[in-house]
Amino acid sequence: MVYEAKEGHIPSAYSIVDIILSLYAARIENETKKASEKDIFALSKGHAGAALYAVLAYFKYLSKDELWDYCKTNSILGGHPDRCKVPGVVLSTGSLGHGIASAVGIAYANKLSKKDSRVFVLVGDGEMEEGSYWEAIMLAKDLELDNLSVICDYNRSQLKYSYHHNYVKAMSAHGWSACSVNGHDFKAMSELWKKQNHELQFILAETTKGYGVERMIAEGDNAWHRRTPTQLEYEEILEELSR
Amino acid sequence: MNQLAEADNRICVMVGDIGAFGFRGFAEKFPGRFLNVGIREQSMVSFAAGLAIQGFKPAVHTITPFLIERAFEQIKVDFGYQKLGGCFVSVGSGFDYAALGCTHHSYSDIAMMRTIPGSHVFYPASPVELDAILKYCFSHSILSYIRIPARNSQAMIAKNLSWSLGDFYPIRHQENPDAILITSGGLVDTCVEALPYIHSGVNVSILHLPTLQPLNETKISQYLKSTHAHIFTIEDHSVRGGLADIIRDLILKNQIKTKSFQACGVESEFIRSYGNFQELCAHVGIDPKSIAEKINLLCINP
Repeated sequence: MVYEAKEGHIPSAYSIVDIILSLYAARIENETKKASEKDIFALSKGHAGAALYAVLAYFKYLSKDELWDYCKTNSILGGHPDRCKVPGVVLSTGSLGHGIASAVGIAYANKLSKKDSRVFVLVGDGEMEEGSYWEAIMLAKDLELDNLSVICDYNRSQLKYSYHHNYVKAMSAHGWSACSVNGHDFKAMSELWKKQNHELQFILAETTKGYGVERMIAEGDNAWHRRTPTQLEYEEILEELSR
Repeated sequence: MNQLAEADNRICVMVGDIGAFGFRGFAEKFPGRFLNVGIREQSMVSFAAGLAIQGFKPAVHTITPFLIERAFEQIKVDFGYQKLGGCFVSVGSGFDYAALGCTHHSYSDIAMMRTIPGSHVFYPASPVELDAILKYCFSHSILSYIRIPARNSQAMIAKNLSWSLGDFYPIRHQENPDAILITSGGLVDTCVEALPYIHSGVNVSILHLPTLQPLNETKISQYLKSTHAHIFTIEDHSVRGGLADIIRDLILKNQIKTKSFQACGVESEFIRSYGNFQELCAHVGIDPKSIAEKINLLCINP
């Protein structure tokens, strides 16, 4: 996708793809629920949209061929997802700190409509620097919601530039049930998603930007955050991922 | 609002720590559908978008600068870009909170809201218009902004005209006017109050535009085309991006012949004086006497 388009955030996508795929498999696409009460996933860190598109294609919201048009002029798949264009996308995101508050709104709306549907929203650790994130966190607590899970993609790339924060402790202090999980451990995450939870839940998913590709991890974020691989790098990365 | 909410159980009201007292009846009658979200304007707007995604019809209300200017990106992205219906209702526009200073003034709200594709912008002058506009907004899935003035227009109330989208209201109609004052919302009565100061030989018409976007361009330009008058726009808003630009664009686009075009409103400045609304109008040059002086100057000594 990104190699074809020469645009996109590959390391961010590799950081979250295991989270999204395991969540869709264990929860969102769980066929035991009736369609109107399907659980909802929203990607607040829209710049990792490529990972969401791949998962949506896997679950047949999109055709796999459409992925090759990613970021091209007439494609429905942009650098940040657009709910008006892409089937299965709940929120149009890209500006950080918006999706989280809209997810609180969706969870509240589900309460008003008495829908038994849980909302999962994925934010970035960098995104948690936004003031509107903390507005939304406090609002959800004030509204006594119990049908919302916030998953933080804790890849620490942004933390190089700011203080180290203990987000589990901070979210607990705000009255949320908070825990951490290895964001690349498919089995552990699947078990976590399957648990029926009736509280405000914060999950710190410990992840690695560029997970699965040694050179992206070794060369780091400055080199790869928004870089497209050369043809040789692309072939080597594909080979590494298929191992 | 109670009647509308009674008829449509998807209507919800969110306020940013104002008006909770006034809405207590609503809150009791429609449990869960009134929320004082608190002093969290940005997340209040995104939150309302979440409700709209799930099929609700949110109205979001607080003080103009904090609703429109502070949370503008949320309105643009979460409602405009996502094509969601939401009704944004503000009080304290222009310099209605005169003595509270520039943090509580807003002369850019109309200009900003007009730039969002598909947005509807309203500045009513009376409760009857407000009711009709709210009804319209909730029966269409649109992004709308309603600027509520601090004072009701007695002139508009006396006229008892029924509201329709994009239309203008002749508060005073004169055949062959020398000048036409075009205004909206909170300054309708100010224009009427200017009349006693205007020279007796000068004919002045006054139009009120409660809808600033979209306009019924055909109807308004037809009215103006036959007049060949001095056109004045009177607004408690910046002369950039508000009523002045709306009417100037209409005049140019429709090749309307005028004697002159006079934009009266807030020039490029922060109004740092305090006092009351009328005093700040005088500071800006949009009080009855200043308006009359400008008209007399142009029409008596052309």
